Order: sequence, then C-alpha cells, then structure tokens
Amino acid sequence: MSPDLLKERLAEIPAPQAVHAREKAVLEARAEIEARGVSEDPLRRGMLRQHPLLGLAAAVVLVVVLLLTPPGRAASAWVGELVGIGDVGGPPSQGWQGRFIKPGTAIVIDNGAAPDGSRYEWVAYRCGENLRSEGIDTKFEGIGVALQWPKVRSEEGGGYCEELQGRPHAPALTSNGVHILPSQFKGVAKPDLVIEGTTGPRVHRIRVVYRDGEGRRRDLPVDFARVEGRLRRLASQPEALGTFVAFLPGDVAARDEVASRLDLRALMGTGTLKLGPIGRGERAQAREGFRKCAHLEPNPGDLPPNPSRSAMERAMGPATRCYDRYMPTGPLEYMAYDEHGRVIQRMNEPLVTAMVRPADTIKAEGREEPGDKRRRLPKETGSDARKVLMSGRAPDGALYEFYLEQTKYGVCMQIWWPYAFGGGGSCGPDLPPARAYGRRNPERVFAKPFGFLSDEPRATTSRYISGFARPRVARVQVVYRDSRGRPHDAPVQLAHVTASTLGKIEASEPFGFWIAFIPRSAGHRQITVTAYAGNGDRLGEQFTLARP
Amino acid sequence: MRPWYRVPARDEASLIRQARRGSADAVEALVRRHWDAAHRAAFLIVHDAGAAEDIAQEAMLAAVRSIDCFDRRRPFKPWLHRIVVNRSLDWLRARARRPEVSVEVTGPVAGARVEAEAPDVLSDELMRALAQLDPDERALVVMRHLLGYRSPELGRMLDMPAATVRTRLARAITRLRELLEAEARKGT
Repeated sequence: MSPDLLKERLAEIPAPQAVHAREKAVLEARAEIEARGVSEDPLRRGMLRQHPLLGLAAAVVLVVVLLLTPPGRAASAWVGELVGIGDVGGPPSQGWQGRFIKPGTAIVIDNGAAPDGSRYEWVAYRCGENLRSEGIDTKFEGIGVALQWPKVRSEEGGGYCEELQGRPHAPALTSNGVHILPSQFKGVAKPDLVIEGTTGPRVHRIRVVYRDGEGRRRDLPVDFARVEGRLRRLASQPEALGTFVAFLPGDVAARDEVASRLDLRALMGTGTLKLGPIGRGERAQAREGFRKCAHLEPNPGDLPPNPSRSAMERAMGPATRCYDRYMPTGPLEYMAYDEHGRVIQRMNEPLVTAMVRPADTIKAEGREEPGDKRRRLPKETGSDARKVLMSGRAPDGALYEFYLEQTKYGVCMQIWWPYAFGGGGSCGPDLPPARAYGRRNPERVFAKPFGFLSDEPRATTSRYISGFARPRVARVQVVYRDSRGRPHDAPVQLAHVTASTLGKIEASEPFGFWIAFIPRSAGHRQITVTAYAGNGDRLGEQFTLARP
Repeated sequence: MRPWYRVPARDEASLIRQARRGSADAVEALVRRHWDAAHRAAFLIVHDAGAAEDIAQEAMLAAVRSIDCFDRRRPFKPWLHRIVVNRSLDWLRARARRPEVSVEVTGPVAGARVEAEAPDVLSDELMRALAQLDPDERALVVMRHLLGYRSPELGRMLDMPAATVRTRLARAITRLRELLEAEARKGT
C-alpha cells in the first residue's frame, strides 16, 4: 500500500460523530478563558484582583528593576509576564512538595520568565532528611533552595536538603549547571538554555560571560536576586544568599554546539550525544591535557584520611596548574562580585564531554605493590557476614573478589578490588537471579553474561564481563574480536556452587559463575560466550555486544 | 530546505495572540479549527468513540490552559497533536492494565454514531488491522499518514532519531500490510 493510498484510506475511515463533544469542548474552552477575566494580560489579572496593593507595589518595583538593571532591560521584551507569578515572599504557585520538604515552609524568593514565556520560581524551604529506614545512618533538619518551573510538566527542578547544624558558610558561587529550558525539552529543534545557580552572603553581583565558537566573549543578561532582611528570615535562611538565572538563545547554543559540549541531553537521560567539530576538537585537546597532567595528580592512598580543603588544594596544586594550562575552557564563565565590586570568585562551566577522562590515562592500581595494605570494605548496615564466592587476578595482576552478602535488599553479589577503588554488583531476592539465563527459552541457555561489559580503570587495565552458568558447564569460552576483527580467547575463570555449599550462601539451586577479561582495544564488537560440558561437548552459545 | 514545523498561517498566530489575551472567540475558533484532526487522530489510536471524545476535549482544554506557556514563534498544530497522541497512548496504557476491557476491535465501535451511511468494507479492514498494531506503532502510522508529519518532525516530537522513526514506521507499515492481507483472505 502506497503512503498516499494509506493516507486516503485513513482519512476515509468513518470517525464517530462527535458534534456534541466538539460543542462541549468549545464551551469549556470558552469558559476556561473567560474565567481569567477580560484584561489584556491574563497573568496580571488574577494577582491584582486578589492583592491590589501588592500589585501596585510590585509594578513600581518592577519598573525600577526594569529601568535600572541590565537583566531588567534585557527582560523587558517579556515584561508583561513577570507580574502575577507566585509572589516573592508567598507560597510557590504550584504548592510544590518534595520528599523531604516540610509542609508549608516553601516560599518564593525570586521569580521571572524565560524568553519563551515559561515562568520560573526560586523556592526556599525547610526540610528534613531521614534515611534510617533505608539502612543509612542519616537524619537531620535542614534547608534547601530550588529553581522550579511551575507550569512545565517535567522532571526539571529538583532540590536538595542541606544540614543546618554545623553548616559551613555557603561558597560565593555555586553553579547548578546549564540545562535545556524545560518548556523546550521536547519538540524544539534549537532549545534555549538556562544557566542557574546560587551565591553566598558576600555576593552582590553576578556576571555570566559567554564565549562563542570563535572565542568572542559577551555578557549574558542575568536575573540576580539577593535574599536578605525579612525575606531571608521568612525563607528560614541563616544568612543572606543570592540566586541567579541567565538564558542562552537556542540558535546561539546550537551554532556553538553548547548542548552537546556540556552533554545536556545525555545528562538528563535522554537522547544521544552527537559531537560537532568544536566538541571533537575540545575532546582531542582534553585528551592531550590528561596525558600531560594526569601523572601530577596525587595518589589517593597518599592523602591523609579526610583531608582539609587547603590540604587537598596543596596536593592538587601541580595538577591543577597543568590542567589550567592545557585543558579547553568552557563556553560559560561566572564571576561573583562583592559589594565593593571586587571579584571574589570566578569559575567555568566544565565541558562535560571533553572532561570524560580517557581510561588509559588512569593508573590501574588493583595489583598490590610491596607494602600496600588491603583496603577494608565498609559493611552494609544490616547485612550478614560476607562470603567470598570467587577470587582471582585480572591479566595485569589486579586482585578481585566476588562476594555474597545477605542484605535488606536481598542477596547482593558484588565484585571489589582489595587494593584499588571501584566495584559494584547487583542485589535481588534470588540466587541465581531469575533472569540469570535470560528471559527467552532459559532452559536452552547454559552460560550467559549477566549485566554489561564493565570498566574499572582505577583497578585494572582490562574490561570484564561476568555471568552465570549451569551446573553441568565445565568450561566457558569467551571470544572477542580485536580492532581488525580477528577473534581472540579471553581469559575466563569459572567457579561452581555445588549442592553441598548451597546452604552456606542461601542459593536456591547449584550454579556456576564466571568472569572474563577483555582488553580495551577490543572495541565495540560482538562477544561470543560458549558453554562446554565436561566431556568437551558444546552445550550452547550466547552473544553480547562489547559496549562498556 | 523544508522547515521542521510548517509555517503557521498568519491568522492562526493572530488567534493565538488573542487567546493569550483572553479572547473567548479566538479560543473557540482554535478549537473548531483543530477539532476534527485531533478527534480523528485520537479515535484511530484508541479505537474507542467515547475515549476519543474525552481525549480530544481534554487535549483542547489542556492546550487552552497552557496557552501562556506556548511559544508564539511556533505553530499550534504540532503542539496540540502531541498532546492528543500522548493522551491517547496514556489512555491505552491505562486500559491495558484493566484486563476486563477487550482491546480488540472487531466491528463497528459500540456507541458510535458512524457518519457513513453504507458500511465500508475496506475501512473496516483497515480499522481492524490498525487495532492489531502496537499502540506506539499505531500512533506513528496515524501521525505520519493521517496528520502528515515527516520522520524528522516525528523524531523531534517523540525525541527519537529520525532513522529510528523511519525504521519503526517501516516495520509498522509492513505489519499493517500483512494484517490487511490476512483480513482480505478472511473476507474471501
């Protein structure tokens, strides 16, 4: 069927008559818009009707702000929509609640509108965190500040809870990062970007400087608000703070590849990263920077336990200076000024995609040197004693252990490296897991990877993949292909849990567990896992992609 | 080069501007202008006359309520259609969780007042074949072949690469063709 014919046929399908429904929709839509009144600006009306004096005062303040401040002048194009948003000092317009927010404590400390008209509110709140029910010994009372987009249905915004007691002074400048404008996250080819953050008590002005693809710098209009005096007390803040918001037009951001250089879609869990020429150039420059500077970083093992900030800065000094010299600079720079106009802090938005450190510039330390001490693995609260299921060494000599632990989340099976940082695994109600042999015809599967190809560059120079095997499997062969497509056997270690040891680890049935190490040079190619019986018979074969 | 969104008619931009200012007449004009396509799209996706009415009504109201958030530089129709399609898919997912309701459409929709006087065999076949597609596939077919969006537009609307849209569409059309052939065999 041709597309044209299909279109014709679809258009010909008799749709049910829906005249009544249409008229009802018309009436409801009219009622909806009429309920907002008849003034020229629907946003202004609701507020003025409820708070006439407040509206007048807000209008005066707004005019002053608009006339006196650069962001105000810049924002005047959408000034009509600044009035009527959840009022400063009042509750947020959407009765916002979070998991840890104390009910009724959230108030708006600043508000405004993006260039596309979507409205934002900076909200301060009191909060409490209690993770004891989740087995984590954390419970405190605190405060938080978050940027909300009341009319945008999105996961954007979020928030945090910071412990009030013993809280250090807030840093002069905290960037909450750059985001795709929530109202344009989907369906907009070149979305505007929003830049936001908070400032400490000494900051009286913020500059956000944008460096375009050709290196030209220009100031972006910034909506900076200081929260002090009565508003600060109302917002339960122990000291003055500030908030700032700036916007980068979508066409500029697209031209200069800002979203991909900062990996905004991928950071939000959607979309794929597509680097352009600027991003690729920065990545190459960063790779070179890592090669030149990584060896200057201090060994974590040489640092004292819980080092102070100044101790860390001293230790990192040589590496920091080297990185400053060789690494690419981000497109956004923030400067915080005190009341005398002096710069008290400046920072660059990190280039996420360029700063992904190449694994081959990280020293693998999983193989112990003479005098090295075995690390102690912190015990999961509420867990029983650990039982080591399998231990061995990667091809470069890094020591690993797979251990089992019964926790409140079920049986956890994890790998860790006694002489290096890194590790992880999975937990579940059953051992072996219900999907150890896959979902499709598991009875025909004899050995199968469980999870993905893993990379622990701080521990070993190899990647690894692990999985389960049936009790009758005597050997697991793992074949990967090198960059030229030639097949190679990976070193594999296989351990069996037999019926006699089942009780010790609370497994439901006997099983085998295997791990294979694959060099990083293998690339993104298919890996073949073949199971063999004791007599050499080939039992079955599985494929997986070598994508870390 | 074809723009991603169709350029809206000048009078539509004017209607939206007036609607934002609170004009009920402008809102009525927008609802009437877009009702048929929205309702037909909802019906072809959910295959339930009552639900299609509700979905189209809700989508219209949602659009009116959010008209302040709507970017005036962009056309209204794709925005509305996305609301319709998303709500239709939500409705199908919710219905899938209620096993007592049959998903299969085997004949004229219950309770529907069908405008066509004579039964249209071809349309019935197509309707039954459509009903057997996955909801997401059905939505893609409707958006592409009824509403007329091209793959890059659909990709942007659904946040997936255009190539993925093309692949899924091709798969859906192949399946639709097979289902239609099966329907035709049944008929003979």
